Amino acid sequence: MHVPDGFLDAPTSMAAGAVAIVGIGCCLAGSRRELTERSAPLAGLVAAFVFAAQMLNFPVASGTSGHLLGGALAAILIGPWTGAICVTVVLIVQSLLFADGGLTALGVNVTLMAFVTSAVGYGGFRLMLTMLPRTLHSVPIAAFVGAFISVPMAALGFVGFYAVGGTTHLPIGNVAVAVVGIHVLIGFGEAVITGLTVGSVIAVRPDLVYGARRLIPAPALQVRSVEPRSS
Amino acid sequence: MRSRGFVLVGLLATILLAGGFGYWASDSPDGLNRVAMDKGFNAHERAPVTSNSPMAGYESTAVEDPWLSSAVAGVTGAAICFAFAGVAAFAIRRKRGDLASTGPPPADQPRDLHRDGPR
Repeated sequence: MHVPDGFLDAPTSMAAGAVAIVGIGCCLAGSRRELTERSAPLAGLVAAFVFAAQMLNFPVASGTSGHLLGGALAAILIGPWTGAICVTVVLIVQSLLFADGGLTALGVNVTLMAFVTSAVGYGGFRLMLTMLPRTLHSVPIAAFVGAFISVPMAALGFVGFYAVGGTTHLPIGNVAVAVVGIHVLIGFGEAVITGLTVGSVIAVRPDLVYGARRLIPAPALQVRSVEPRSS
Repeated sequence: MRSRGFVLVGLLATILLAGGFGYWASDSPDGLNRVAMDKGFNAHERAPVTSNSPMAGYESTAVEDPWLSSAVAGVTGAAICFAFAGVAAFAIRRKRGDLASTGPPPADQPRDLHRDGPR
């Protein structure tokens, strides 16, 4: 859902740019609490994986495609603040080098695809975890739900920007129904990819999943006795 | 699986996705662009200013073959994202480490044996 140049007017794009800059500052501060010694390469891996997965457009309806946004996935794997930074990195690289998403719309794209998806995706994920049994099996299911709701919410965010500063003047209700409607379908793809990816990591290294860190049982305290040496 | 092994396997999967499968991704317009075309709110859309960059549209201009062109662009992009985000995370993390280890701990606080080790 990369917004190109020209969908939104200049003041709205600039305001979104300001939101993005302040938001990135908050993410940098927040990510300090999430990052550990071993998570720097993991942050790189998450960004690279989201970039690769975003290239893979899947068909959603006749003549329409969608792709992973990745905010929910990144937030669950590495923490919501760091996850938003990872997706921001992807969006900057895509805009500068791959002509995907307008340069003037970069603030809008960062706000919607990095901040909204990470916040909503992680919020939904945590909410689901409180309702599911406290086991690691619940994590991919909660990830599925969080990812699913993150996409239409980002689409709703676009409708909000369009209502404030769209360069065309269409009935906002029609735009909202069409944009959110197609993104419910794309959200299903997002949910499947996110659930499978989180499930795969849970299967091999559950301790590396930020969102699952409270579900990993602490190793039981073992009492070992040493046999007195017989000499 | 060790952490380093995990990152290597993850990178391998990423290269496979970006390099191997990018070419077969759907060419249909993305959901937002599709709706914009149908409803007409793309009337003032401008071509991206970076559209003549060497990897615009996920196709490398350096390679003729369409599959290889997509693969080169995908793997290059993934590598740049890995480096960019990895360095950023390392810098954020290091800053915190520096703050945490300035000077000896105050005398009235118990020493953190895990960090300082036995004397």
